[in-house]
Amino acid sequence: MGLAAYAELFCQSNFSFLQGASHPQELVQRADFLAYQAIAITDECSVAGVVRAYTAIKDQQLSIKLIVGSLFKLNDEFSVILLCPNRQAYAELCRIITNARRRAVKGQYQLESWDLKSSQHCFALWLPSGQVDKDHAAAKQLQAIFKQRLWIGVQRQLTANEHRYIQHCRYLQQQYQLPITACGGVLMHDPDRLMLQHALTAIGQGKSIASLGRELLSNSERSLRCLEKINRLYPQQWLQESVEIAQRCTFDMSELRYEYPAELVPQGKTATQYLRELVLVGMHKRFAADGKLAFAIKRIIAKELKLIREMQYEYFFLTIYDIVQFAKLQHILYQGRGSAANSVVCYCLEITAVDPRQIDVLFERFISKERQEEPDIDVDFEHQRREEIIQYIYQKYGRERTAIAATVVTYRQKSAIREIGKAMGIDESQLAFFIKNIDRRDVQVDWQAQIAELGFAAESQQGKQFIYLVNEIKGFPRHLSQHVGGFIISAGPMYHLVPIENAAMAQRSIIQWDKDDLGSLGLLKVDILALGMLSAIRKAFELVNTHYQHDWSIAKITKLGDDPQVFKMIQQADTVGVFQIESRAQMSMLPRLKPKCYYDLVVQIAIVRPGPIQGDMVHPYLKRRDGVEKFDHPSKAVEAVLKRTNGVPIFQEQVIKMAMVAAGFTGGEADQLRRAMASWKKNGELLKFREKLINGMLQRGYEFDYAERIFNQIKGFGEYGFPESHSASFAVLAYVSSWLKYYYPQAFYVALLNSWPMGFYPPAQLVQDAQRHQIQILPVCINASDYEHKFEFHNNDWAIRLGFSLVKGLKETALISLLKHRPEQGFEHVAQIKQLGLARHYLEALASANAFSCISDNRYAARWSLMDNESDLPLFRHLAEPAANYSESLVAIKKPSASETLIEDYSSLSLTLGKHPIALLREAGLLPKHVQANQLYQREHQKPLSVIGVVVGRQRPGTSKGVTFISLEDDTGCMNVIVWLATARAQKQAYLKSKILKVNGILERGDGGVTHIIAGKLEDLSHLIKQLDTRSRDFH
Amino acid sequence: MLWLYLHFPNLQLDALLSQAQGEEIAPLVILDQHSHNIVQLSAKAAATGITLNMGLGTAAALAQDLQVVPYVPRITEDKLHEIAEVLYLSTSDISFFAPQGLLLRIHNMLRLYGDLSSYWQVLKNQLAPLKLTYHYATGHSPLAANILAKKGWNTISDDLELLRRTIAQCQLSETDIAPKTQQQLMRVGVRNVQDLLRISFADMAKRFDISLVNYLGRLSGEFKHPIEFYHPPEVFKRYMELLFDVDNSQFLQGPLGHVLKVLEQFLKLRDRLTQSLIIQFYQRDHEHIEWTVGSQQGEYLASRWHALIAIKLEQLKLDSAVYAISLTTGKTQIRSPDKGDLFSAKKGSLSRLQLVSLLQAKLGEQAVVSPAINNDFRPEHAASYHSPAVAKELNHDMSPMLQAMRPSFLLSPPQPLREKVTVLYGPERLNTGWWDSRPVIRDYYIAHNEQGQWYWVFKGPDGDWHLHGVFS
Repeated sequence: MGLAAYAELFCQSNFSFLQGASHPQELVQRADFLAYQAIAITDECSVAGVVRAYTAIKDQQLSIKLIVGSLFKLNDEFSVILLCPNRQAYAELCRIITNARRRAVKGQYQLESWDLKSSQHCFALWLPSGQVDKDHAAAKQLQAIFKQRLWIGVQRQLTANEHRYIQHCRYLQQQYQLPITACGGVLMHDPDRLMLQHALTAIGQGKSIASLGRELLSNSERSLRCLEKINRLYPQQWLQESVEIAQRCTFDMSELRYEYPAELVPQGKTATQYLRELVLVGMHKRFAADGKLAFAIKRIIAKELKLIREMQYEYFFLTIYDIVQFAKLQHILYQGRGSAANSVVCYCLEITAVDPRQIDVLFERFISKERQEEPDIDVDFEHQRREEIIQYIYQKYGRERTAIAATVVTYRQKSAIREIGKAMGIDESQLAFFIKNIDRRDVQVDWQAQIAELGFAAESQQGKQFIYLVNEIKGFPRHLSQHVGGFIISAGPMYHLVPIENAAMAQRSIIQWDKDDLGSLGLLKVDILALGMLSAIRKAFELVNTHYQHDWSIAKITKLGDDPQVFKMIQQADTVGVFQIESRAQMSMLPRLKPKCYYDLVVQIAIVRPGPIQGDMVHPYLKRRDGVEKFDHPSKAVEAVLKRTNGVPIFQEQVIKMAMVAAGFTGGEADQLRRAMASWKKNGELLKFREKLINGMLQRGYEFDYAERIFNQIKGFGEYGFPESHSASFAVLAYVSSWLKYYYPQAFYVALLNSWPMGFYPPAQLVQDAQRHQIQILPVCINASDYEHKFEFHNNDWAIRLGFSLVKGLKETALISLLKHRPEQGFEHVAQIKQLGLARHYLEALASANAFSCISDNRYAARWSLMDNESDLPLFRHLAEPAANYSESLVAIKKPSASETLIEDYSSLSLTLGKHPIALLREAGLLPKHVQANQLYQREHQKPLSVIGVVVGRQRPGTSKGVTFISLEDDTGCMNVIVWLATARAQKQAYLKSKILKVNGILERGDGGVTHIIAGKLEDLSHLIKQLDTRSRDFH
Repeated sequence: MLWLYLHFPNLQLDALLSQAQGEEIAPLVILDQHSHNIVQLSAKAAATGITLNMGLGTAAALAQDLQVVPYVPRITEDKLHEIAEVLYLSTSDISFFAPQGLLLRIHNMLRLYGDLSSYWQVLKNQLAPLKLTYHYATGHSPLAANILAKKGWNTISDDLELLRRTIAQCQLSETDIAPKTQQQLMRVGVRNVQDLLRISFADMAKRFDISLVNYLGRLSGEFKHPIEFYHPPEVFKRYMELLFDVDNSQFLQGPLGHVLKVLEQFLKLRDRLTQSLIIQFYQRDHEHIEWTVGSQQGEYLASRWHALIAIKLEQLKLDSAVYAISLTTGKTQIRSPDKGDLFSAKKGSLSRLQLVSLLQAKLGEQAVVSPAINNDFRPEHAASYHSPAVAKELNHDMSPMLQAMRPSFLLSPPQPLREKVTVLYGPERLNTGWWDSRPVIRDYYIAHNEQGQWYWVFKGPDGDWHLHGVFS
């Protein structure tokens, strides 16, 4: 007799957090391999894992049927699984999950019997508890609700006294005339996951594994078992019942269709018509000036609109159009980016501000039908005003119809070590010690070897188990969190489509799927992101308008074409504060890449990433571009893809396209490759594509070496690969910010300072940079400053007056009354200000920031007199300078010395406008011989020298194997120091702790005049600051 | 008025290192577990560049083989009491002034010892055998002595002018003024005590709360500073953290001998005997073990106690390594009243507890045990013997849901199954215990043999059948 078929109806993946010990993909793969008829993924009050199972089945073309369901526990004695036979049942399940989740705090749920009573479509598998009274009550209740849709689900897990439980279930069957179906209660796809399942249970309970005893699973039977075993364990009839239930479940995830909110389209029009109208209106606005091009433009628009119609993406564009219209009305600066954003349609809809013809190389990569990707438009908004956009969306569509995509937070190295360690009973301070000292970036020594170095007995049995479990749990989901800005908006209530749960942030709700899940189902999300640079640019435009009466916009600047002056500045790496190309690594590359035009910036932004550097693309690219290295494209097809980057794949799109044209990947496969690239460090899925890619290329006549090189470059791309479509939009902002820095430096710096925190550099660095550009900076002053930094006319030019916002511990609201009551001619004495009734600590903060310097020459004395609470009494109010003893007590207060001034400046403003610490030290004769930053260019390549500076940054890019960039700053500029791992290790003290550092090293001048100092000896000079006073006193 | 302050910055470290007899293997630091900052460090650790208050991360980066011990305030406290006990022999007024130091009122002692330097000599001689790191200073007020000792002035002087001058030079950070107040003072340029004392108390009171004025008044000696002095204890109590975890009970003799010597000194000075000692062994992963060692006639000699303890040590079974021991004289321990013969007592007149204590007194504590159910699937570990108190607790903890049906008679070890049986129920599959190297992988069945006896049998991974138990 053959084996009876079986469908697993009760199976929890690791999206039942800290219960399931297998990924949904693993479960469906194994169930398919074992020739199950179907598998239901029934995570506890969740459908978060089903999309992954669905995607795995689709991608790997598995023949197993997927059923959507969920496990619910009303209390300890009452568990039931709901399965979805059809679309209505699915909507019902989503609603029940949503209700149960929304009742509880984040991460938990609370089912109520009302939820079950409301069910009209779902199938119910009841899991009796074995407690006689409770089960009889439950049976009656469930039967009344589910009637013919109810089964008893019996599991056999080979536990003690199982025969009694089965007897009990059979009795229930007879008593209530309920059919029994077999089910497995699966938590693992493979029995080998038992150890991990134990560890997860322990983590969930917050106890050690050893102390849990019988609360753990007693064996590995809750795994997917082969049909032979299933047949031995269950009666035929029960197995048959499982298959019948599975057959009645016809719901498929592909039935889910996103329905866009109908109100986007005016009544009486179709979405297509409406979109067309809007685009045409935009076209006249955007292209009115050049009438002769109208035909070409019209043709492109027609082509794009046709594609949009075929793919039914009209609502997606309309949704974004609606949002940016709101932003425009509110004067919030925004910019769209992504593959679809670089279309003429988006330009006409004012989603982007740049004429796509200027970036014509991008033109071909609009939405690609063959690549089966969802259209990608992210919209960046000013970071300080993004909340306004979010509120608009909530207000317009309501919370029922709007939700944010989830981000699945997974176990990473640190969390894995911490939690597995705790579960195994390893001392917590020891774990903390490991975590602090494992260097994730040390590519030479893996973490296992590192903890052994730190004294962990990795060879002991416990040690091996620990390492095994940590590696196993990595990549397991821990909880759902909120995506940065991915909104989905629907026509009807969201919970018909996907369950919603509470986010950690009050008044926010998230759906149970992340962006990849949405992508797999073809559901579109709108990314509402925050970008600091947009705030800065908008503020700069306003300042320019106010003070120079020039009216600029991003569109106007880009219309002017590439400005050689601006590019000259960029080539000299004078890019502090500029978008994207301001980081250390970017700046060191600028003089080598020497960007001359907009597209060079697009390349520059994408090339200085960990990926391409790893893949050794920078050097070939530079050599080929400069004509030093000759190269041929191996074929026409490849040439078409790689021509614009000299045969070197730099952008993510190129890699995908390469796989298609050179290795014959289908659109769907290429999209899988793209996803595998994004997560290959996590799961190594990318390696699966190696054979296919190389074979594909060999078959098409490419050489093995070339094919392998391409694969290695893809690998090198890893998760850092940057899409050209995004780089193109970023390059616009990089150019516009450079342009502003060149033509309106005051406005540029003021706008940046007023938008801070953002970007790479703190205010101190920005102010220094401004000073180096001969811009006058005026100090914070009680009589001149506003809350924000502003323009002030001084010595025949615009200077920057620092604002109160720089003063630590001060609030904008606190200053309202001060600014309101500030007399025209300014305050004359401290007592006047005291009478305004500002909180004392605000006034003290102002005093320490030397804001009273115009009325009191000693900031210590100013603060001291503000601290006196006696003169607050009404009796003394009439006195301008109250109380006779006031001046007496001031005698005891001395004047700050040079170093004290420095310290006061730094502690209240984080910057000083006085002399730079290095200058002070040099004048006091405290510094050994050294070269100043502005003299470096006179020094010879490969010659030893010493430099001294304040450490303003330590950066260790994931790219370079153990190299740290230290930025040193002296009074004349910045210096780049490169510290190799070995040097850093040998001189850890100076490397880690210095505030003022002396570096003896070798000067290295690269191709484009980039100057670095390769550190040899590091010496900590931080103690010198304290000596400033004694020395300067000696001078008197 | 003249005060002497002794500051012991490294008490916990000293206590640990005193056992190492000068050999320090790896850089050693004591770590505050809340802030993860270094609070004490050995010379070797200091040599690597580690400093006080450094974070653990930085410290670990500086020294690869760093040994980290958590800070336990109790050790410092106990150690200070020990020191006070010693110093009490020469000084009557000792105060536990601050967590890490002792304050001594000395002007009244000077007459006894002649002059300051000879008094100090006596004190130094008393401190020497304790092998502790300490700083010292005299001061015209308790707070002055405290500040100067803490900064490591290490000077004994009764020149009040010099004392005042030195204190004036102290930085704010060296005082005990609240950090927030210090911050505020720094922001108006007040850096040291001199700057501070230049300002009148009245001006100060207008700007700061009264505690600052009080502190300054006490520091300068203008305000009275009430001090509570130490009284020597009646009961001997020592807690000693071991440098290494000890898992062989014989190795405990050394440290115990060390404590017994101190006990002998303690008893000798008080001219007393003790009839019992309570010894506690603190185990790393288990409950501590507590012993009471008695001596009918009372004893003070370390050697006698040592002999008694050595016999008991042979029987000591450690569940896991011992990291600390403590020793207390059990003067208050009530000895069992003389009840005569156990069997002559009236039946039923004893409560469970009374019976247990009586049995323990007669047979020794180890001899009385009680069975308890363990929370473990493995039949071999499902039950064990514990002291009656522990067993009661364990049985109480067990949730009835977790108790599976098991036979009353277990064979230990299980025997190969040699007769024909008929399986009735099962299997119950066990695959567990991987974490403690005693894993069990078995299928258990309930079966009966031809005589109708109900058996609990299992099949191992190798396919062999075993008889493990018989149902009653």
